[in-house]
Amino acid sequence: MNKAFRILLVLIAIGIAVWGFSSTYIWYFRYSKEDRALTNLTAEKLAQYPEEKRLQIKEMKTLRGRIINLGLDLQGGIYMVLEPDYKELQRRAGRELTPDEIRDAIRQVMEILRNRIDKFGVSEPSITTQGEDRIVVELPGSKDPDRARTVVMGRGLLEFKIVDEVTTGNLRRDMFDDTGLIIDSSIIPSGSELKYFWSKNKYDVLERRRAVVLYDEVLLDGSTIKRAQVATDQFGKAEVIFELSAEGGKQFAQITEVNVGKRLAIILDDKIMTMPAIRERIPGGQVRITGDFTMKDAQDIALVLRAGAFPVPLQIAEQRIVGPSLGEDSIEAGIKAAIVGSILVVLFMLAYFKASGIIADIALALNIFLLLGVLAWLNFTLTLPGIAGMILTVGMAVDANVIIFERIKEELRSGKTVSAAVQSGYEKAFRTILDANMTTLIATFVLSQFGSGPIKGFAVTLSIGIVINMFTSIFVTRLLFAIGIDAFRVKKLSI
Amino acid sequence: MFKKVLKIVQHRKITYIVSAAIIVVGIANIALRGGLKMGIDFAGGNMMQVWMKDEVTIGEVRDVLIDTGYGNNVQKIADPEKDLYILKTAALERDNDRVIQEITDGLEEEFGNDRVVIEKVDIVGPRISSYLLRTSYIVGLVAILLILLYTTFRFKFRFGVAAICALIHDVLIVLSFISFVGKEMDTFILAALLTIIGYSLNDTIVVFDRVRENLRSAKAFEDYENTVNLSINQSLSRTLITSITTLLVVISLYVFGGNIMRNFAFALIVGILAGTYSSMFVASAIVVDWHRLKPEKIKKV
Repeated sequence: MNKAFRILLVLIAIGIAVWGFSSTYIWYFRYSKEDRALTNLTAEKLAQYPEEKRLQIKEMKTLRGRIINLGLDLQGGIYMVLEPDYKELQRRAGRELTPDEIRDAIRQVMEILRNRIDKFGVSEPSITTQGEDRIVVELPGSKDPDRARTVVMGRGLLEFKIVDEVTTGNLRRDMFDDTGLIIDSSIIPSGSELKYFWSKNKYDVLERRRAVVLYDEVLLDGSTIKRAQVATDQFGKAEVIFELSAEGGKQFAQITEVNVGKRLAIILDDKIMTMPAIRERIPGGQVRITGDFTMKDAQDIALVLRAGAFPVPLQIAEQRIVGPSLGEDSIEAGIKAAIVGSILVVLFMLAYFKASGIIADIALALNIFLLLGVLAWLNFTLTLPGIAGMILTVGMAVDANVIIFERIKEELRSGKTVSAAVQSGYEKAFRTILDANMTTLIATFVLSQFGSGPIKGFAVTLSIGIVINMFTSIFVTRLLFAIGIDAFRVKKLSI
Repeated sequence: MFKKVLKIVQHRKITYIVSAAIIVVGIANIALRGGLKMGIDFAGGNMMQVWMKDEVTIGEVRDVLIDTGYGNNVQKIADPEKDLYILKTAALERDNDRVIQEITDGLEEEFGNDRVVIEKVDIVGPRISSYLLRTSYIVGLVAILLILLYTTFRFKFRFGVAAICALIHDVLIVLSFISFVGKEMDTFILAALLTIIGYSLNDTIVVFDRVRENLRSAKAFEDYENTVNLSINQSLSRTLITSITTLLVVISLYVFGGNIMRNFAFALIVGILAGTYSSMFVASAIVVDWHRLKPEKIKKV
């Protein structure tokens, strides 16, 4: 490979890293804490902001998908206490539950939660029990509380109800206050309830639209769903198609038969998503929901519908934002320590390898930078174990160069010229570095197959770090040597 | 630098004894204490929610917890009205009431009797489920087998076995030291152990690579033990420089990283020292002894 091509390759790598890391940089250093917090507002609160601001917030939300996230230990997150409603279970069983049965139910719920959160791509959550029968879920980053609710609660909140056309037709504007809430709820007849139809505004935020009165009998709920998938209709709009179980299908056929001519409200998380009119009896149990949602929403809905149903209905007893479990002070101290450590390494390399140390230091800096770029591009969640992986990467980044430099020294001692010594030094060292890194890579690759948890974060960082390390410490430094030896017409290598 | 050839593998009898002694005492110590102390992530424990009426920092609250000897797990709740903290302690003993009482006393002593309100006390379950722990053994085993496969392919079977012995040696040494100083096993220590595994393997393979290279000549092969020793010497400056640079990072983590990083950094320091030591005095020594007992045949190159 000629030199120009090699330089180009390095520049491309740097370009990719700059591109990958820029969002993270903007997110953490250009936006203030207050600005960042804006992206966590609920739809209702967001509506109070002027249009320009809302557009900006939408952009920020997109940016957030391309940054290095910090884990629970580094930035805290949403903390939810879930309480199972045993009454329902008891009602179904027709007797008091034994402690064993309760424990079993809790274990099942936790398993389902873990699966579901994993499927939503939230990395490194914490799911623990508290007391006898409560479950604490912590999700890193105070991302949309709305979405957190969907992730955690999700299913069981899909309901089918029939629209009470008469009462809905009688609703008038002056029955509602400025915020759209009903003033006198007694106008709703018993057996009916008021719900709202929701749809997306241009900022992709669900907004409450008009009020609709429904008969409050739940005709069918999420537990009858067998399969759910996402599709697009002929206009390219996202829709969710689901298949009901045999029994659910029969029920659905019956519901549609009795209610021909009426509208059927499909309610997700207490929000009416769509209200198609029933034209005829629908047999077969295939239902599609077309609503005003994006592809991503449709995927979320399908996911929620697919993931197993909880054996017990859950309630959120408590939901709050918690700080990092390491504490801000520890994180600051940790960052300081990492910087001090890196500076010491840089100085040591300069002291020991003199001018050649500069080359190793450049490679080290590039290594860290490329690693951050790739992690950002993966929207990676960084936790303390992940940082441990980075520290080891720094250690190993230097190691490869130490191996090479020591080899070059040996070659020089045996009387070779500078460029011959550099060449054979690299050749001999390459095999050493390859074997050492491959063995470590095997270990980390196996570890990274771990479903979740701290081990995975560590292993992923280290695996990526090793690959980048091979590039910077061998390819880049060799190029730098070639450039340096040519430029300064080096007769005696400072190493 | 190291022109004079130092005798290293020749001292293996002593170093075997030293390693074995540390590990035996360490394991005995762990056994006497009824196993490794498991932190809250593995064993569960207690949580208390505390309302601090005066403005305090999370560091001050954590210092009190550390002084009581019940760990350092403190988290702040973002609440606009009150300064709320969650303190968690591992289930070290069953007498939860006493633990809570001691922490409450500690807090009240530090911040004043009427300035501390215990809002809630509860039992928390482990974060790392026993299922995950069980699968981790399988994953570890798979990793070991694959490494063995690779090293057998690139070196020889015995080299792979020796490298894995060194790795297990390092992990056991670190666990022993953790038990000596009475630290808890938590996710930090777990991360440290994984880091050490990576470091140990890397270090051993670099030495073995030199051994492999030197063993190519028939003359050197005849003098197996000295050739291995020479290889260690030839890679010695690299071994030392790399441990120094890695230690520089880890020691600064220990000194400047705050009290919460200290356990993590401590485990890493012990592990890096053990990893450096074991590639010479354990892994290489095993290769030499293996050859003495069952000589390998010279590879035709």
